[in-house]
Amino acid sequence: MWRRETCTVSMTVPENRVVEHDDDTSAHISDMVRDTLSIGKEVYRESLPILLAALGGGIIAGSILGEEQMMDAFETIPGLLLMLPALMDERGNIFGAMGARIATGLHQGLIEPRFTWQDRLQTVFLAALINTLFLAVFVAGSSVIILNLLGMSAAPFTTLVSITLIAGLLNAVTMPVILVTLLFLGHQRGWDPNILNGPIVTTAGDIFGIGYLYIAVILVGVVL
Amino acid sequence: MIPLLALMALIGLGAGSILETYAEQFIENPALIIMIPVVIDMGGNLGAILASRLSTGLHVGQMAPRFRDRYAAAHSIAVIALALTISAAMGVLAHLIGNVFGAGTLTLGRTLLVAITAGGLLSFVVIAVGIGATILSYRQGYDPDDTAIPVVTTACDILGIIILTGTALLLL
Repeated sequence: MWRRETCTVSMTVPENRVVEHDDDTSAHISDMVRDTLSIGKEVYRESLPILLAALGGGIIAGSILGEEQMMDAFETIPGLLLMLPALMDERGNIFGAMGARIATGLHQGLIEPRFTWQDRLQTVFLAALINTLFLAVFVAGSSVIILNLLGMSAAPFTTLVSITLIAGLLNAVTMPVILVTLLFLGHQRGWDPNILNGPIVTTAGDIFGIGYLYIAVILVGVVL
Repeated sequence: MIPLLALMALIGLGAGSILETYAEQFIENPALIIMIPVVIDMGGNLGAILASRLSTGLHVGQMAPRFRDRYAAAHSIAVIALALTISAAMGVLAHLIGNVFGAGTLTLGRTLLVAITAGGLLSFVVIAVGIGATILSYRQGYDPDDTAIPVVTTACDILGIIILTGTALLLL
C-alpha cells in the first residue's frame, strides 16, 4: 500500500516543476488538492473496517454497561464509574503489550506458532497475571483515595478491590488464550500479527473486560 | 512496565473522576453510558492510526517534519471523515439499544447531535495531538513509533471522556 501511494504522489506532482504561468499554477494546485484527497480516501477506506470492528465491540460493551443491574451498581457502588476508564485502558496496555511481544516472538522465530506450553509463552502469561494483580489493587486503592480527596462518597475498599480482582483474574485467564489462538491462526494464514493485534485487543478486550466487570459486580453484590 | 502501568492507570482514573462527578447525567441517559466504551476506543484507535501512519510517512520520506504538510493534511481529512462516520453510527446504535433498556429519555435527534458533536470535536483533538506529538518527537530525534503512539493513545482516551461529558452537559 505504501508503494502505491508513493507512485501516485511522485508521478502527478513532480517536486522540481517550475511554475511560470498562471494556468500552470492553478493546474498545479488542483493536482495537489486531488492528490491530497486521494491519499485521504485511501486512508479512510483502509481504516474503516478496523474502526467498525472496534465500534461493534464498543457497542456490545456499552450495552452491558447500560443494562439495568449495572446502571444500579453505578449508583450504589460509588467508585465503579471512576474505575471504568482505567480498567478499560488497563486491558489495552497489558494485553496490547502481550500481543506485541508474541507478534515479535513469532517474527523472530522465538515463539513457534504451535499450541504447546513454550517457555516464552509462559513468561508472557505470567507477566500479564502479575500486572493484572498489581493494577487491581492499585486502581481500587487509588479510587478510594481520590474520592476521599474530592470529598465524594466512596464504596469500601474491599468492595472495589473484590470487583477489580475477580474481573481482572477472569480477564487474565481468557485474554491470553484468545490472543494466542487468533495470532497463531492468523500467522499460519500469512497475516501480520502486528496488524491483527490492535483490533483483537480492542474488540475482545472490550467485550470480555466489561462482561467480566458485570459478572464481578453481580457476584460482589450477592456476597457482600 | 509496572511504573508505566501505574501512570497510565492514574491518567485513566483522572478521566474516571470526571465520569463519577457527573454520574447523574450518565445514569439518567443509558445512551450516554453506551457511548463511553465506543468513544474511548474511537479516540485511541484514530490516534494510533494517525500517529503510526505519519510516523511511517516520516521514516520513508513521504512527509516532511513540519506542520503545513500535504501528507498530514490528507490524513487529517481522513480522520475527520472517519470520526464523523463512526460517531453517527454510534449515535444511532446507542439510541436504539438505549430504548431497549427503557428509560430512553433522549430522542434520536438529541443522541445523534451529542454523538456527532463529540466525534467531530474528538477528531480535531486527535489531529492536533497526533500530528503535534509525531512531528515534535521526530524533530527531537526520538522514533515516533516508540514515543508518539503511547502518548497519543493515552491522551486520546482521556480526552474522549472529557469531550463526551462536556458535550452532554452543554447540549442536554
